[in-house]
Amino acid sequence: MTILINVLIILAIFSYTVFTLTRFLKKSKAGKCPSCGIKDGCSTSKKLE
Amino acid sequence: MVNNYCILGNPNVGKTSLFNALTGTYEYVGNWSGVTVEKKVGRLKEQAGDLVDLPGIYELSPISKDETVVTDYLLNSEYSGMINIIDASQLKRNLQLTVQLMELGAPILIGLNMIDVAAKRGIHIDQDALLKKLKLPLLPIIARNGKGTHKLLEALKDQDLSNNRPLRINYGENVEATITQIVTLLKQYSDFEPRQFRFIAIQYLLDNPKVIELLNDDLISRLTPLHKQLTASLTTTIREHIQTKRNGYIEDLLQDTVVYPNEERQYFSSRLDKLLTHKILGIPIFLGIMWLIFQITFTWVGTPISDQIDEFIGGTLTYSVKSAMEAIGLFPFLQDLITDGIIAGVGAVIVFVPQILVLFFFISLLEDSGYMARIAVLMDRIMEVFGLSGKSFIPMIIGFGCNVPSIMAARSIESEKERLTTIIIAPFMSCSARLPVYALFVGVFFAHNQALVVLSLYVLGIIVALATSVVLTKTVLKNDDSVFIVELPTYRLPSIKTLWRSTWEKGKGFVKKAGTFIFGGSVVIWLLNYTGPSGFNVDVNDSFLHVIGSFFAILVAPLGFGTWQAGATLIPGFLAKEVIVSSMAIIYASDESGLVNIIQNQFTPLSAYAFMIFILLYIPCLSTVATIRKETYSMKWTLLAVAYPLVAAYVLSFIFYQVGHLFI
Repeated sequence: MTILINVLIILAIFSYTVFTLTRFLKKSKAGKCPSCGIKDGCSTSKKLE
Repeated sequence: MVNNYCILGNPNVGKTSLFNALTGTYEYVGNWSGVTVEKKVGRLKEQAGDLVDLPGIYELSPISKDETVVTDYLLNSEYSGMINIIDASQLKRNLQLTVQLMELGAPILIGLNMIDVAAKRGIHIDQDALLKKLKLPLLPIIARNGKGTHKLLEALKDQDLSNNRPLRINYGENVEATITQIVTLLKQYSDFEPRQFRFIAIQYLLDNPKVIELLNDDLISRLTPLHKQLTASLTTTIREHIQTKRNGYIEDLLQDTVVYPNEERQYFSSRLDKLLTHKILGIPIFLGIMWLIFQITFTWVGTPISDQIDEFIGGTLTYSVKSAMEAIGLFPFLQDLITDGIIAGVGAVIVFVPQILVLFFFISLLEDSGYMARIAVLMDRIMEVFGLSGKSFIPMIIGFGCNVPSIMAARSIESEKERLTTIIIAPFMSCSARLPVYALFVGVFFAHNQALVVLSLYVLGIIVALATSVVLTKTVLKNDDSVFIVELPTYRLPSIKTLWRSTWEKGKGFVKKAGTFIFGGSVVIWLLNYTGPSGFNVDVNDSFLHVIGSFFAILVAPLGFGTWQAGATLIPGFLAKEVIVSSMAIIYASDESGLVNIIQNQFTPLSAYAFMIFILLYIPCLSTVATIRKETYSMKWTLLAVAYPLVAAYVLSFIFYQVGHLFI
């Protein structure tokens, strides 16, 4: 049981790490709107190319 | 069919505030010109349709890049109506654009904004009389707090909106005769709608390049002689002539409808301006205000709260998590990862949230009160010496929050060379991500002069930026003269709602980043610290991070901070500057003596300041570099934007440390 919990936590941490890092790199490389800190409240990015 | 509306108006009349109030979304709002640089689309409340927020313009003839967006939209898009928002306290200037829009003849509704500001300044507007004279729907609103916007939304749905006819101002015998001739030619040789003929003719006479683009060569060759003939027959230029006639029309509109106050009351603002934009005192006052803000941020409010959070994360939280993990029976390596990696790394950034929120609160306050626009005017005089104009200063100020939007904001600069120069120098503005580094080091080494030291770094960033612009404008980017015209906004007490939103929007990104990228980054850095060529759980001196850090340490040794730990933070710092502090916390977390003590042993005040100079200048972060690439469309400029700061950072830190070393 202990091993299972350990494995689950390791999996969770590392998969989240991979997810956040790849998403960050992808967004940053895109530049402009995707890397903007306030883009969530902005509907421009959805409507304009 | 979906109804499309657009918001138009002069710069800084509250278009974006109205956009937010009508659509319920949030866009960056500031009290100066040029905040909106490209059109934004939002969905209107009550399913009334879509709303497009366009950049502010004074004239329909475009001069700068963002102004072409407006003319292009008006001439080439389909829309059900325009909302022309005008500043009630500056009616005369605002109506210049309104007249041009009325000549276009598209359905239009006027939003009379800032009636509260006008009333406070003692300007009395007889709205009914003005409405009758304009023959257009006119609605009073206060966009900042959303008052009157509901009625405006209702009015948009009104069918009568579409019934207005193009405005006809009598431009005098000669001009009218030419317009008639042009209209006849347009009827024969173009496919514009008949109601647009007169508008196109007038805009053609005003040399509107967007209108000329729409005419075919054959037509232009027929129109050119008419244009020349009219120019010859007038004593002034066509533009001046038309302007005078329009002014006459506007004066007639305002007569009996607007009463201005006696002088004394009206000039409170300008008396304050005399002091705040004083030739000699202006800049020292600005620096004094900034010092006060940093003093509040670092000494009085921000740091004490940060210390509490730090104590909680380093103490209570870490111990509780540790005992919980032991109770569950987690592997020792996993326990280390969570406490020394994730909690230390993410926590190191989280503790600085109070400082960031406090600083942004005051920067938002300066923006929204109208003071920052004065600083832009003040800086215009100084920046002229450096080959730039005050227009470049606005993107630079935005850069204090984040460099990415600051580079986007450079679009409002009409001169391409000045825009490029601004893009290259904007990353020298100290963004919020660099703040944790300063906060950490000033707390340790300059506890009594925190505000002054941080202020010196911000000022250094501005000085390096200005010096760079001199180099650029004297060499590769010899500048065309560009004129900075900014209408000073009235001073106003910012609304708590705008302030809070503006502060939170900036701070939110920081917190979010801590939970995502900083989390991931911390795990990777911890792993690099935990593993080495010889396997897992190695001594820190045998770790991969040590190998990487040692390589950079040799390079930066002449700058005074040649430890592998400092060297190891530089690469993650390129991805995002916040990670510099996280990396340090993780590297030092395994050491019992604590982050502050180790920093004290490894740095001296001199090398700490050299390190802060290097971090301030060394390289824009990945997002900024990508944005520069997109905005310049050039690999050459992007490379310059990366290489130049690196060299500048190295040279300046080197000089500072080596010269300082002679005395200390």
